[in-house]
Parts: sequence; C-alpha cells; structure tokens
Amino acid sequence: MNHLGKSFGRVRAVDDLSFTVPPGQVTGFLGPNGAGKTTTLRMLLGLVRPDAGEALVDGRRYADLPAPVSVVGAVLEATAFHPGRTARVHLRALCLAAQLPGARVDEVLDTVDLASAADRRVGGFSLGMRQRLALASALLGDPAALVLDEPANGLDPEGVHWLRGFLRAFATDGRTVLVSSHGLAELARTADRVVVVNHGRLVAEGSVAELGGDDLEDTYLDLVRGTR
Amino acid sequence: MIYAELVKARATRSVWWLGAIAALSCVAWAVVDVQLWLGDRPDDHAIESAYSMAQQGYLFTMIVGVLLVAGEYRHQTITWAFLVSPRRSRVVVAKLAICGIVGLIVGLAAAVVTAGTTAVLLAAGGHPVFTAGVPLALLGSVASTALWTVFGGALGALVRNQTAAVVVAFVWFFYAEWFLVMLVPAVGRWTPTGAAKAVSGWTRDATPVAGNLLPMWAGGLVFLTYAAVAAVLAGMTSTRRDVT
Repeated sequence: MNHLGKSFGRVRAVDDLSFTVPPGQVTGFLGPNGAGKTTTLRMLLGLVRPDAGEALVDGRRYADLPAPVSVVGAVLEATAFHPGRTARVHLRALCLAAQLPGARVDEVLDTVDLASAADRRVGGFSLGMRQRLALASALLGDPAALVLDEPANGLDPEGVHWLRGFLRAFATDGRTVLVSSHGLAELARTADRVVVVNHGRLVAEGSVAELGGDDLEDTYLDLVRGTR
Repeated sequence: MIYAELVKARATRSVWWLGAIAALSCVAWAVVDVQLWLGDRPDDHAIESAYSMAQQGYLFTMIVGVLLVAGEYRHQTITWAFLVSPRRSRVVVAKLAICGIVGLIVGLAAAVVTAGTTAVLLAAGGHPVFTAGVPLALLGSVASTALWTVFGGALGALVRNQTAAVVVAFVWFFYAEWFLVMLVPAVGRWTPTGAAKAVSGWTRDATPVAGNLLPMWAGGLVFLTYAAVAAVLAGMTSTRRDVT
C-alpha cells in the first residue's frame, strides 16, 4: 500500500495509508469498525478504485496480474453467494472462469472440510460453512498470498482453531497472509505482525512482540484512543 | 469464461421458471389468437401470425436477462467474477453471450409448444395448418426472444439493481412506449418493441405499431443497437463503479 486514499462522499475512508505485507508471515490488519480496513483490502483487490496512491501485489496492480487468482486469494464477506446454487456449482464456475483444472474443486472442498456439503444449496449453509466456502474459493488458484476480511466471523471455536492452524501453516510455507479482524485476542495468537489503522490512517505497524505480545489489547486500545 | 457463466445460469432455478412462464404465456396468446382473432377465413398472413405468438413471452424473457446479470449484483457474486477477471468488460460480454444462449433455448422451447398448440387448434377449426411463411415466423420468434434476453441483460448491467431494472422496463414497456406511439405513430417502428416485433414478422393488430414495421433484418439491427447502446453505457458507467 502506497499513500493509498479513498473518499466515499465526504467521508475520508482511507487517508495516505502506506504499509507492506511481507511473505512468510501472518500480518494482522487491525482497527475499529469503520476504520477503512475493508475499503483498503478492496482497493488491493481492484474492486474499489483508489482516489490517491496505489495498492500493489508483487509490484503490480491487481488488475494487471495475468492470472490474479493464482497470485492472491481473497476471502471477503461471507454472504456473497447465490443462495440457489450449490457449493460445487459456485466453485466449478470460478474454476472455469479462471481456467483452472476442474479437479481443484474437490481438492479445496477437502481442504476446508466441506466435501460432504458440496451438493447442497448455499442458501441452507450456516455462516461458518459460508466462511469455509469463501476460503475454498480463495484457494482454488493455489495462490501465493491470501487476503481475508474478518474470516473468523461466524466460525465456532473449533473452526477458529482450525483457521488459525491453516493460516499459520500457509505462512510457514513461505506464503503471504493479510487478515483483517477486530478479534484482538484471536489475532494476537495468529499473527506475527500487526498493522493498526484508525480513521483510515496508519496508527502502528510492527511485530506482535513489539506491540506488547499478550498485552496487545492494551497497546491497541491506547493507540486507537490516542488517535480518536 | 462463457462456459463458466453457462454453468451458473443452468444452476439458477429462477431463470428456468421464468423461461417456462414465458413459453406458457406464448401458448396462451396462441389460443387467444386462433380462437378469437383469426376469423372464419384466415389468409396465409393470419396463419403465420398465429405461429408468431411464439415471441409473445418477451417481457418474461427480458426479465430472464435482467436476472442473469443484475442477479449477480444482488447476490454480490459479481465480486467473485471481478476477482477472477479484473477486466470487467469481458465479464459483461460473457454475460450477454449467455443471455443470448439462454434466450435461444427459451425461444426454441416457446416455439415448439406454441407451434404444437397452434397446429392442433388450427386443425380443430378446419383451417390450413401450414403455410410457406410459418417456418420464418417461428425462426423470427426464436431470434426475437434471444434478442430480448440480451436486451434485458444489457439493461441489468446498466441499472445493476434487479428490482429497479424490472421497474424501469415495466414503466417503459407498459406506459411510456405506448403513450409515445399513440402520440407519434411514426416512431412506432423504431421503438424497442416495434423493432423486436419486426424480427418475429409480427402482424397481429394488437399494438399501435402493427402494419408499420421495419423489415425483419432492419428490425433486428435496430433492436441489437438498443441492446448494444445499453451495454456500452453499462461498460462506461455501471461496471466501472466500486464494488462494495
């Protein structure tokens, strides 16, 4: 992110935001509701057009990547499914559009432990199942990086535990993870580094240890209150 | 990409429900036409008109197109499409192609059931069942139905909001266009409905535009131009907007 900025009407959602997400680590993206986290991630993914600065992946804009889903997998809000389509149809259509082999559908369904529900309509899925399906969609292209917006929402404790292990392993594999959350305690256990934003601006950036380790919550509250 | 869109369309039940309603409404129109409007001694033209009722489900098939495109915005699945293909114009073109294919399927189904019903009713009434112009009337109806679906898709891409797109279509086709044609009959052949009716070789005197239509090919061109203008406008405006 390079001096990134975006306004919606009179609200400056993201303002002169710059930070870098290194590979091999889980980077947590923290901030209160409305801090500009989702807007930032959507600008990174080419869904929202920045009005200042730029967001680059491997030095390129998302839209300029030749095979974007094989570079970055994205887990955005978990409701973005057609209720009448099955999980398999959703994944298969994505595979076809991205020109990926159809065998990836079953592989990612297995990865997120959703194979038994593959042929059910998404309309009957729980929030946790939708999150898993969103993660499966993001993994289709076997990407080098994952961008996740509040992926733990709606997951039960077992699911949260599973997701933490998955993201840790993904990063240990040398890949990149950027995960936004307002679940501090959870993020303190998952992330290596954190980037804290408030009112669209960068407030702090550093390793979890630097920012207080287990006391991340205190540091965070101080930071956010200090910039209010 | 087109195949991917086809997989999605095939799995969307509302599309096929509406398609079935479109086909059934054609059958209903055919029954009305043969029983009430045909007269005792129908000429060839009247026989062909009965068959061209196969295009009368057009408002439903247009809504099929709206659903296929605007439905993606409604369910936010457009996000996935744009993530896979950040070049959004390609997504829109693929979607309009799918609208054409789905429209063709619905049009063919409507033509088959309408032709069957019409033939049976004509035979029962002691009228000639076939004339040389019947195949063209049916082909024109199928083409018209496919074009209507593409038109609906372009409208959906432009308006993005499914309900708003249907309301816009409703206001235009049930009110604005009728008033316009009644006030200025000369424009009737150039309106979307007039152009689409020309494609199907429609002649039945149920609209103010009847008897004054463009040739079949010209109607097709005019109607495609409407769809293309809507699609290009969509590409310049709606599809560029932020997806939030």
